[in-house]
Amino acid sequence: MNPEQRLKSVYISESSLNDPVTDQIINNLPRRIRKIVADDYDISSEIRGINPKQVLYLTRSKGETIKKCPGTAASYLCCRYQVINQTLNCPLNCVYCILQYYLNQPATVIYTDFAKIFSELRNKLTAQPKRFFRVGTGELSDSLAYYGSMLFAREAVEIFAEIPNGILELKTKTVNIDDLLTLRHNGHTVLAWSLNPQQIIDEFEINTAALTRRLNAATRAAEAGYLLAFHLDPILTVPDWLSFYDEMLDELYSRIKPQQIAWISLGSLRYPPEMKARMIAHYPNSVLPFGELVHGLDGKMRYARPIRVPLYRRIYQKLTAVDLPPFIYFCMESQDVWQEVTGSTPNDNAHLDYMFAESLYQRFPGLLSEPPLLNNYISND
Amino acid sequence: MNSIKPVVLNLRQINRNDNTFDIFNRPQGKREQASFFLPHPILVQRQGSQYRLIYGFEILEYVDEKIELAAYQLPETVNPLNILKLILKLRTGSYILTPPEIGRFLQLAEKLRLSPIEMQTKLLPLMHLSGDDYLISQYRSLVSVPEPLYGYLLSRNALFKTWLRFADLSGEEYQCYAKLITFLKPSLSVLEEIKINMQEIQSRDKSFLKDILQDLDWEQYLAAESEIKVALSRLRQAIYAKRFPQLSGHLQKIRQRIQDLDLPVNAALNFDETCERRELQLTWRLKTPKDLQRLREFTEPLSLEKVQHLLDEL
Repeated sequence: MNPEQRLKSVYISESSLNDPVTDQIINNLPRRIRKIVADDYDISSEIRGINPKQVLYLTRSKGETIKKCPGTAASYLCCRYQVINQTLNCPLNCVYCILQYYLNQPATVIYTDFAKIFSELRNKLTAQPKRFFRVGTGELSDSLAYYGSMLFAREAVEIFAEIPNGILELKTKTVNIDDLLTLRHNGHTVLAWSLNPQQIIDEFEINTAALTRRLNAATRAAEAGYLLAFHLDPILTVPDWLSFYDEMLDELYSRIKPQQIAWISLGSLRYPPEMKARMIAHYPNSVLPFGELVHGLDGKMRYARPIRVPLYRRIYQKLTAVDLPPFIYFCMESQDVWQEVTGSTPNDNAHLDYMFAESLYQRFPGLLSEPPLLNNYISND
Repeated sequence: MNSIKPVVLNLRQINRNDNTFDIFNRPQGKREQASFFLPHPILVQRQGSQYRLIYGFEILEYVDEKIELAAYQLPETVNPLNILKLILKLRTGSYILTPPEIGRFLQLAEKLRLSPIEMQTKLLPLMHLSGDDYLISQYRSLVSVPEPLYGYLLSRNALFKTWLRFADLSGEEYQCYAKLITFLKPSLSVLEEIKINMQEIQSRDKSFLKDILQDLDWEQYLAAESEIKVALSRLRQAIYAKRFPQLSGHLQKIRQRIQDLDLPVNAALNFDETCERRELQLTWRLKTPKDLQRLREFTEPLSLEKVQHLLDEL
């Protein structure tokens, strides 16, 4: 179901009406639920008690929208990914989703001032021309679930096609890629899917596309020349996880060639302790909050390391047991875990960031105009 | 409130059967608390030929029938909200309300037909609280926590979130925790830990409490002839192992390895029990030449190899 159909009300700030994309978005929405408000109007009093996923707020961004991925505390490695926060909130309902805790807006926000966001992007990337940036829109939302996000993605693909030192990642659990297939992407966009076994999707990823559909979409994206990425995150220790993940990985490699994959991330379930109560309240029948999680060094709850490592090891071994395996990294993991699973570890976050560039340079000739140098990553945050 | 007037009363004039406003309940009991409240005024309201007591229940426990009491009579027409605000002002001036007292107070407010909005906007802020109907219902649920849990939590100054864990218990749960505090006398934090783990096992396994109790052989700990502390510690370990089966198995293996190192009593090898830090911490108290000799032996290759294995396994 189109997520816009589930909206109960849409607020449009006056200045947003001047942005060309606003018309396109609201033309898709029933007139009766639209309301135009002054830019400084506080909509929260009008929508108290309504699920923020059912209210859309089209407005212009204030301040920076492109930020370093917040990652986590220094005790775990992070890859220095850059995020564009153009859409805040997501129409999908994943039991483990951090957004149910992280976001406190009363509505789903879509920024319509694309020109300003792209200008900020260009400024940021041209300031460090020797560094290769990975930039994504799928941090505070699904990159392609809302029509407003998709419109942004479409423009972003074409803009990244012209940016020599950056690559865009559109991360999704949907299959809404039709509008992207004919775009000129110049190899500078990665279409990425979060993957989990179908049994987990059924139980914990409500309103998302089935695994087979995600892989079908990925196949179509690859045929259109896009690089692909997959995020096995969060990996969950459900009963029979071993066979579930084995089957899923077999399916992945039977459909997608490793050479088409720019990167694959591995991450296990983790969340701030305060989110546990939120999960229990939102999904009272879910078993996820009651796994064997401990307080990590960053204060977040995560599976205990002796549980995570065998989980990762199994998946990592399977993913790398092919010719020319893709670049595989861990999201928010410790050097101990890297070492235990892969036999080596990045020195620090900058090194990990550099390793991405190095891998892309080696595996996808022409994507980077020159070989990356570690020094260009160390000196820049 | 302008028409409050002073009156002099004796106990016989007060309707002791009307306990509508008798909402404060301290662990020490009213009589023991009475001297603390002596400086507080007594508030009454005319009720037929007698007076209804609004505030001062503790003081009445302290006085005998011959004594004449100075009290303040509130008009019968006074708005219930103002009565409640007055009670709150008197009470919280020198006392922090316990969570079930707040629950009783809000229950009284409802009985006096205050609207939820009045409670949220007029009463909660006076208790430094903010919240909605849900918060009010949570506080009200605390009133029904049965003894001996009620007295136990009260006497240990349990926080609101801890009280909540023991509200709305089933009969079976009540039996379980009542016996636990009676026989094994856990500290508040241990009781809470047990409650959380038991609850989470139930939710995870979709199982019934009676099955978990049976699995744990719960009664054997309560009837333990060993020292209470030992029984409680064994019970906690058993519950932890059920809640965290993989992790506790791992920890047990590591502990066994450390034990196998046969360290002297003046040495200890510690590790992070969450296992996030993959490291060992060795402490060794040195006092005599023998201690030094023992340390020297420990640093020989064979022992260090064992430590290396331990680190690998960690």
